[in-house]
Amino acid sequence: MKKNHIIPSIYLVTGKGGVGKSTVASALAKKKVAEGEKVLLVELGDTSYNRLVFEKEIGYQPVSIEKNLDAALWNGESCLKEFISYFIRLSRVVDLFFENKIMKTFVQAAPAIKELAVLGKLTSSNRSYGPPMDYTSIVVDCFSTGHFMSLMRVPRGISEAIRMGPMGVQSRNINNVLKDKRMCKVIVVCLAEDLPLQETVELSTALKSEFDQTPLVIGNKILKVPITEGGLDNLIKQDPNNESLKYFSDRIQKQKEAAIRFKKLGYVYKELSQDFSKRAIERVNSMAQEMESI
Amino acid sequence: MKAIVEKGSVVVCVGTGGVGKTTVSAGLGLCAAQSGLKVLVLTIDPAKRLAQALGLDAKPVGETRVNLPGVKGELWAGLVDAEAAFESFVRENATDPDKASKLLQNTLYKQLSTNLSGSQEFTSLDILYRAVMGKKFDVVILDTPPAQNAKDFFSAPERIYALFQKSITKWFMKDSKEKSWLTRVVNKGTQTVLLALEKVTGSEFIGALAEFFNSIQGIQEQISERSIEVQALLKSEKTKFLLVTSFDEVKVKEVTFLFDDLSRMGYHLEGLVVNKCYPHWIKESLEAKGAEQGTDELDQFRNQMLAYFKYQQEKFKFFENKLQKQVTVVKLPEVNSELGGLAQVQEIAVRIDGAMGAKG
Repeated sequence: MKKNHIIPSIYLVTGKGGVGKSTVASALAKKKVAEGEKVLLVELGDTSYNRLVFEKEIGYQPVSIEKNLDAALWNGESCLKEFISYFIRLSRVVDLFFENKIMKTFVQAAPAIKELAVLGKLTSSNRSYGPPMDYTSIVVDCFSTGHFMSLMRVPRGISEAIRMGPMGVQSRNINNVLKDKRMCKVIVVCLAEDLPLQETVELSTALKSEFDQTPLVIGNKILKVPITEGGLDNLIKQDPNNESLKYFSDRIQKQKEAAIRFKKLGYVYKELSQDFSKRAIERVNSMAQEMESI
Repeated sequence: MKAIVEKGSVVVCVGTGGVGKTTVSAGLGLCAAQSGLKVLVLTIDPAKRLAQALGLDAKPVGETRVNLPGVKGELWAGLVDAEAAFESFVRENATDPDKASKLLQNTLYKQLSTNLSGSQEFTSLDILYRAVMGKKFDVVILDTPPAQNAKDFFSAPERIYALFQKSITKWFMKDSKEKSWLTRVVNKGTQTVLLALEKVTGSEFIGALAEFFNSIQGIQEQISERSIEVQALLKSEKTKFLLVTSFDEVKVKEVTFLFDDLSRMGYHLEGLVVNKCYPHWIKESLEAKGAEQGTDELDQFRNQMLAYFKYQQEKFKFFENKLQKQVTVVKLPEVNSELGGLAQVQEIAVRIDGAMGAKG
């Protein structure tokens, strides 16, 4: 079973809904490709968002997006199916597993199984356990903050409850990979707005205390207004009813506050600018370029 | 103009996280209250200023009336604390209090009670159901938990229902005389796969599952029943769905797929609110003769933004025309963040009122 496992770096991208997680994940994947890595970009769930960005059907089996970049969509059922087929090499049983209606319901319903299957698949190469994948980097477009922490907590919860047997051992090993800063890195995408900021702080605190992980915080959609603050203030004085000037000033203020707050908390904080390219794929590409410089 | 809210309406606001569902729900509620109705808005995790504005910041139990001088009707707000509500559902409905306590302490239950398994959605729907049946309000509006995908909300009751089906729990029943849980499984195929599962997960895990399923027996019927009642309410004529989405080409495309799915499933999707379409200052400019001519860098930057939003608007027209045949579409600007709280809700209420509104 232990053959040809390349140990990949895992990048988990999360953040509050609407902050641009998917764009950041795709851009990061492209950046890693540019650095010479072989990358798998993973979405979690039943519906792919990237299929509309890359204009390509994306399913469980990786599809090629460009050279050295594949994309896949993972859900609990398909990860579990692959896992079972790998260990129970009887196709009759495997087929039964997923054709059996009650079994389907059971997999859907039983707590923890789907989550472990997904995290097990993700960390399989790092643990040399399960079907090997040949990527040097895996970028995961994860659930938003609340769901993300619930997902991360499953392996530890299970390993504490079930100490013995394959489930206990595997859960513990999965948890160890998630806690290992060399193998697994967390990126929290944030906006310079009250709610996302608050969620980012809460999430980072939880990650630190529960997984000893200090995430990289990305301030996304930062409006890079090409004027100094003083210059803007002067314009507002001349034209106090100009809504766009007030809007710029408001955004700049909030962006500054966010940077100061994260700095005070000692986070690694990087800004990515709001891009006004027309198509989603263009925004991904220009973000990937911007990432190279930071 | 078609009124989305009238006496007896139930409105469910669905959408992914971060699109402003809570503010839109409150805005719609205010709009209905202004037309003289007694409205309850049930919300999850509102932003601090909004919570304060709605009188929900002190985590009150039950419903709180929002102080709105000069408004004809009444606006009430209620907070949905999904985890606590699920626990109280278990305690209230369990046939045996010992079993309820056992379930609440079960490790696998803890996985279940997190927001991964559909329990949040189940609980919000249970709270909605009770509010509607209580008949204290003319209109009840539910702000649903943030979902990864707008569709997730609709599959949640099914997921939770599946879990509490007898066909599975009976495998693990303790009071059976049989020795092994496997011999109770009637179907040979199911037996084979369960053995396979045991092989890869170990007997400890299967044991924990058995304990879990054994302890949920006490509330199984109640959950199944409530799921069925809730489904009936969701599919009834008086229940209207409002989809809230952000202004993103890709997301808007998703909406068109979702619309077809929901109609097929028998839900009444009546409104689409596209939130934060453009910064509030842009609309006027878009409708004016176009971008201002400027020479300096700031003007260029502003024009670039204008061009972007103009392009997005034009792209959106295509979907809008298509969707407008089936639903009322409302576009809302990204309002000045300094507004916050009730002022922001009022601003949204005005815009909603102009497009879909309420009938007193």
